[in-house]
Amino acid sequence: MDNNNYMLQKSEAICIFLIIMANKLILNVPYYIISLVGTGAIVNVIYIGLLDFVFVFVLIKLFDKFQNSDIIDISEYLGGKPLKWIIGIIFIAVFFIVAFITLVDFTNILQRIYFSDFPIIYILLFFIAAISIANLSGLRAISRTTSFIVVLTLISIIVTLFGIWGDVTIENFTPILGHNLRTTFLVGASNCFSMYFITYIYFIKPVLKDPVGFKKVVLTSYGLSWLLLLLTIIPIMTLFNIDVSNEPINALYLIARKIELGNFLQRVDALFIFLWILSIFAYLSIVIYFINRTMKKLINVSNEKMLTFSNCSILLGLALIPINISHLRFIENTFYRYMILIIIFGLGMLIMLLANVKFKWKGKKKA
Amino acid sequence: MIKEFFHKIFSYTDSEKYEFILSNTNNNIPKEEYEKKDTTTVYPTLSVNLEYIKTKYNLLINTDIKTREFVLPIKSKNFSACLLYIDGMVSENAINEFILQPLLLRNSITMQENSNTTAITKNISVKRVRKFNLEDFIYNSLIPQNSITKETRFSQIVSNVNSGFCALIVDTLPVVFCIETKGFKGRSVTEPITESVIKGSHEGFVENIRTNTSMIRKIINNEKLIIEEVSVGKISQTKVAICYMKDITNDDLVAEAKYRINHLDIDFLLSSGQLEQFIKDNANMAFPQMISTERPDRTCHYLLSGRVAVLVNGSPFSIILPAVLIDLLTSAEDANLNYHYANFLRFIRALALFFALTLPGMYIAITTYHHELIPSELLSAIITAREAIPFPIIFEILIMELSFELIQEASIRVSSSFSTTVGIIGALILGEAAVSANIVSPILIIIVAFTGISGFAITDNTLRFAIRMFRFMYIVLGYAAGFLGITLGFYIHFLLLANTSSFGVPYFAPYIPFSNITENNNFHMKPVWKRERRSQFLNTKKPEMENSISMKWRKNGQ
Repeated sequence: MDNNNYMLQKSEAICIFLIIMANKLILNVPYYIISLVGTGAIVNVIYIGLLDFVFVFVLIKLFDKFQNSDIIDISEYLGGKPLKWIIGIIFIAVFFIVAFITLVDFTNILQRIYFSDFPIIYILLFFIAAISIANLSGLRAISRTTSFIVVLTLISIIVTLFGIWGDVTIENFTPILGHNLRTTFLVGASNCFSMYFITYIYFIKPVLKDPVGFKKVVLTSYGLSWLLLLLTIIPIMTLFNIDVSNEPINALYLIARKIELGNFLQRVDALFIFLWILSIFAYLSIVIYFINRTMKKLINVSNEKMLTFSNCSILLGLALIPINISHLRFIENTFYRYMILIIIFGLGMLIMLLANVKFKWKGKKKA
Repeated sequence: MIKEFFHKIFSYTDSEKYEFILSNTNNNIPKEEYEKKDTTTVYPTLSVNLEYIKTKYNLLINTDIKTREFVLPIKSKNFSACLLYIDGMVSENAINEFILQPLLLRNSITMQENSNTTAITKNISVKRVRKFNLEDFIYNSLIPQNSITKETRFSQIVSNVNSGFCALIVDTLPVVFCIETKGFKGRSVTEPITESVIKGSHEGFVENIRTNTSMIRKIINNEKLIIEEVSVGKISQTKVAICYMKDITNDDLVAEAKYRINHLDIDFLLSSGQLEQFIKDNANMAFPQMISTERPDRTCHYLLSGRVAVLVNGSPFSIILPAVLIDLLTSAEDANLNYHYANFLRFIRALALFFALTLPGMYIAITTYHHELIPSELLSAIITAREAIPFPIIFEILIMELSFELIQEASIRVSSSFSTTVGIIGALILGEAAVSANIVSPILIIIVAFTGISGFAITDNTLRFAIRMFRFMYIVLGYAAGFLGITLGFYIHFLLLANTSSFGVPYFAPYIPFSNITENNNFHMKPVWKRERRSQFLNTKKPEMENSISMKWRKNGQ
């Protein structure tokens, strides 16, 4: 099959969703949940799990009417080309911001741990090279590579979690409802952003080999992602004093540092970093792929691969904007959180609802 | 004498250097003329045919093309005839005993027997007169050869003669009899050189395609084994055999293999390695996309699993298609061993693949960027060992790796009597002396030696080449950015391999894309009685390989 028209199998689509989620876990998202709701994190994760599930379920239902369409096609259906362009640009901006945050955050971690003598652009170029080559190789290569990497990444995360299982004490999780009900359930509802992979539900349907399996893919991915989030929360709550305002460099990395495998491999975190770099490569390649794909729909280029170099250059340019860590943390914890909530949970859902209304209205008119 | 002596010393003489310069004038034969097909047909006159053959074969300068003219006495008539063959490619005994003797000796006897009369009554006898056809008579009664064809086109006659047939041209006949008299010398069946096993067959393929196909037939005693033959190469007309099991192999796979082989517009094909490069899916991919084996038993194993085997005349290797990455980690011996040992060996080979590819790069990465990964005692030992070395670590490791590659290449190219010497020189000079001279550290010798040995544990020769080459890439990446660089290398490798397929089968099958990994073609080998199904990715006509209860004797005993 032509690589340009490659369609994802169900398992490949699930792997793509899981790698998106795994990257959020690697990059401190569980810590942001805990920092907001304190010891009520477990209850909060179960609560946001339910909220997100309802959202995802409604979204699947709303997509029923639109076979082989993503949100860009649906916007065009709803409001013609102007709306298609507006929604397209908004989602491209979201993808760029997310990719930028991930890239800057992770390269900063790497620079601080291993490459303190090197300029940040040196590290960035390795990531840009990986993303460019991946996108030039096409969706088939990206999805199959992701299928392999996601297994390794999940194993590394689970080993990390179980590596410190012995330190888990019940005192760390009490009071189970956190500071108060308002924080855990009302303010804590904003933690819905942690299931960020929902963004890609808006785009995955046209690239699925079997669009009928859309529901199965989304629900399976959702279930596994939620389970992973819950499992990650527990050891982080065990190890970090949530009242201390100093945010760790990377919660999962610090947990990995505590694992010792005998005398020889004293610090297995280096091995985990190796796997996590792979998962960041895969994740960023997916983000750039969807940016390329969305742009292709907007500007009608024949092949999205042509946009790879320009989009990777934009990403590199964004990542080179001088930004200090506290600003980055603010963008990650606050700006990113509300951006996801407003655009993905708000705007996206609104478009889908209105498109369904139009569909029904048109159907009635025809009848 | 004295005069001559002084003349030699003091006089000028022209240099005796002989110089030949290849003319650069354009003497190209036009392509159209070269590719023009010979459609000339056989004339009913021997002298005209002979004249044509003499021109075609350049008989005045070609010494091994032989013609034997003689007279064929049939029905009291004498027909001029001629045999055409290539000396060295035919069996002279076969020509003498099965062509010339029947034609010249038995022919006269046959004629006497045929000239009898039949008595109807006591006084009346009728002479039986049958319509005589010379062509049929020669074909049916005179030549006792099993393989004989009648050809009318010279192109076909020449092709047959070139492959060891003997052509019989008879005056007045517009056909030529091509009689199989192949008798060229070849290497006898010996043990495979590159795939020796302890527990298994010790027969290997040879250069003769017919011997090779017979070795396959000998193992697979079934009429459903199809061996199709095609010629590849406009000049060389190399015989290529496409083998598959008619009731097992997927028809599309067979059709695709035939399509690719039949659509090669090349002058010559000399080996299976060359053919492999011509028909592989991704021409720029360094990793092997087909299995190359010189073992008939391994070829048969793959044929029975639903794959296609291709044999090339003149090459002692068969190529198996399609191939996936896991196949390259398997050995011919795996099937003969208890599954515990086979799995252990596969694990060792996978480990060897990893070390052969990345160990020097990892060493550089750990010693330059990731010190924390190894115990401080070991780190201090490495640092102490490197104290006296004046070169940066990348230079040190590249020197050793290049030296190792040189030794490897030299020991293959020289004759076996020198290879021991090369080995000793390599071990002594590059090992002991380099350490004593403080050019490399002792620990690096261990790393390079371990990497080299790991490389030898890889079963597939082509994969070994790829690993040797990419090792240098990982060294550079490890030096450039430690694990980040090596990870980039891995990622690019994954992408390239994930995008690769071999005759429509993904390279990472059966794992990626996910399929039924309970099937047989897994990295983990199942016990022999549980290998019930053929690989799902081959989509064979007969998915089951064994009954769910293959050891019925156990069931019956209960």
